[in-house]
Amino acid sequence: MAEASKGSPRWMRLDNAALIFPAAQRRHWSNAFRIAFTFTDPVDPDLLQRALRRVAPRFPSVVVRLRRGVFWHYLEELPTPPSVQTDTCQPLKSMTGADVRRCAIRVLYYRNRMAVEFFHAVTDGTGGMVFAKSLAAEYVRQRYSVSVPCTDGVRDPDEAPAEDEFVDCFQENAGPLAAPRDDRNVYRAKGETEPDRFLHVTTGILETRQLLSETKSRGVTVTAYLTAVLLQSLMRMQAEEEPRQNRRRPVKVQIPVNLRKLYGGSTMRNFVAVANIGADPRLGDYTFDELVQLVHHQMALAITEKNMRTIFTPNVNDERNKLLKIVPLGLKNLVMRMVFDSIGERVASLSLSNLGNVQLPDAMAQYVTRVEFILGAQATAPYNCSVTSWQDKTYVNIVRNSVEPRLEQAFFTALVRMGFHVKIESNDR
Amino acid sequence: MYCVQCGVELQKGVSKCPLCGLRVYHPDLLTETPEARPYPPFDDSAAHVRRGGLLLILSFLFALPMIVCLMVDLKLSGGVTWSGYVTAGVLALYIALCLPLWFSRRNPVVFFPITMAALLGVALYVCLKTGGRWFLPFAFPAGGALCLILEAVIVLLRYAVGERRYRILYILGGAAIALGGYCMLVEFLLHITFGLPMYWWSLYPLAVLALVGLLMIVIAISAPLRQSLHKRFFL
Repeated sequence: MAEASKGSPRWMRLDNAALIFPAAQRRHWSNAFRIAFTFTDPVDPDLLQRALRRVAPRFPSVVVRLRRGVFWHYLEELPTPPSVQTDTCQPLKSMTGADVRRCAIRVLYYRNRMAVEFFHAVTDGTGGMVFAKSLAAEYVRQRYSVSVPCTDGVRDPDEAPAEDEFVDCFQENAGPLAAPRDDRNVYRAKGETEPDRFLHVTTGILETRQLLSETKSRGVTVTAYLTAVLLQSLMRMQAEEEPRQNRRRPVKVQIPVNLRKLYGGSTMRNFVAVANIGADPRLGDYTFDELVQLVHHQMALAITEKNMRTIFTPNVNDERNKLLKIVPLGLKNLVMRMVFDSIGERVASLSLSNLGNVQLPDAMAQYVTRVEFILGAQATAPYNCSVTSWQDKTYVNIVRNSVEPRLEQAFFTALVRMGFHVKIESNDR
Repeated sequence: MYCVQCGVELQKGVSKCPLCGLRVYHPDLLTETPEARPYPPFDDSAAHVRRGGLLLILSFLFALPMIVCLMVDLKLSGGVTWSGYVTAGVLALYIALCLPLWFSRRNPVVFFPITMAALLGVALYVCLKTGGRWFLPFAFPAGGALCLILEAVIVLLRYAVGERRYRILYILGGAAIALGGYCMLVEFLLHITFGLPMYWWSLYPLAVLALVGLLMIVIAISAPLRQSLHKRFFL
């Protein structure tokens, strides 16, 4: 819930999922993601700044900075939005502690593209997409003098933010039963880290129609299908590293689930939990058909209202622990950092986050040529994967901070062998 | 244009495939206009400038006490007396803490001996300044031997461990035994340099360190013992 006293900016406690992100943040890594819109014409930075200035007051829980309290971090509304910046070769450049204390989001532009980068403590992909769509819609209104209706996730900049946009839905939906933590003994891809921590972004562009016809013929979702391809690629990578099958580790992909679809609510804070989907190569070799079915059924079992509740309930219980509450923030950060390093990331090989097919009002859609979603790399493993679709294209972004593009090569060439047309773009130096 | 190895379509005008690194070459497509890059060209000049400025400030902060001490010393004593020790100490500290920051790849294999050489330099200065005769018979062999042992540990930890983490136990076990021997060397050097009687105190650290070292080596050799210990002490 947001709180404000007269004359001072509104402030909010971090939501339950966000608590870990400031603690896990380090000099060269922060948990961040990026949503980008590419327009038909070059972006006018002045108009973009003006659009941001108009939209920012509508999202007081997004245009914020991170502050330190004695016992917890909190978010504080910014009186003036940040300045738009030119994009660099390095998307999702690490947001340092000093950066997020100034502003926890960045608005960038390069040629025809506008991008918003969010520190994950602020919001999740769904909330970020609502903000980015609203900003893009306002920019289109000002740039092309057209009327863009506030539909398809675009919010009206003139209306006041609703109280339920500030709600920490984890607290409201936590249940009585906490699921045990997942097994940590999973395969983690190895790779020589880039000396300057450069984040490589490789985008594979697929035909959505072709992808949908293939997934429909198998009766599975796009996420399940791409997860199966990822699992197959990871298993091949592990087989190259460890020839003895009985010494290999389970391969798991972490799939973030938008909990608004299960529990309702329209919060602009984080409301996402993850399902770890995987296969154990020690049990034998898997055909691709087997993997697709395995992923499909595991997802059906995991992503239910009752099961997902048991996944985020342990974290809510930890936050409610009276003893933990009185521990000073510095010490709490140390403990949470250790938990994050030893459990948080180690339960899966990487994440695959799919924001799905983006819908925009028709009046705006004609000016948008591309919509992208990029998830930052993990802190202790080189890869992550994010997917989004816009019109007839699906954009699969694989990020890595290691030198060799092993996963990208295995993943995209597997898709090519399956008959997909894949176009590759990258930010290679 | 397609990569002949991966089969993926590439952006026009790229020089190599981002997946497999294969160079893209087609004589008929040389005049093809390159597509706009999806991201601006790489530019890391800003990062370099920032670090250089910070290091200059840091260097100035180190130089400040040296200059102040020298000036006060010159004013009070009319020459370099006690300020020489301050200068030598601060210089050694600067070499240990700040010198590596000037380099992008800070390899301890290189910087550790440099730091040790700086510390020995300070010892030499103090020895010459005080008219002592202990540098060559004591400080140099004691410091040099310690440097050799620790340098060997750093080199082995950096280059000989790889995926087999248990090799650390061999290295640390060997280092513990070597440090036990080093204690004996120190007692012997104290005896011949300063004429201290041989009490054989060094046998106690030698015995403890040799036991610890041997235990580490035994754990490293025995895989079942390693697993059993890991089961009881994992975090």
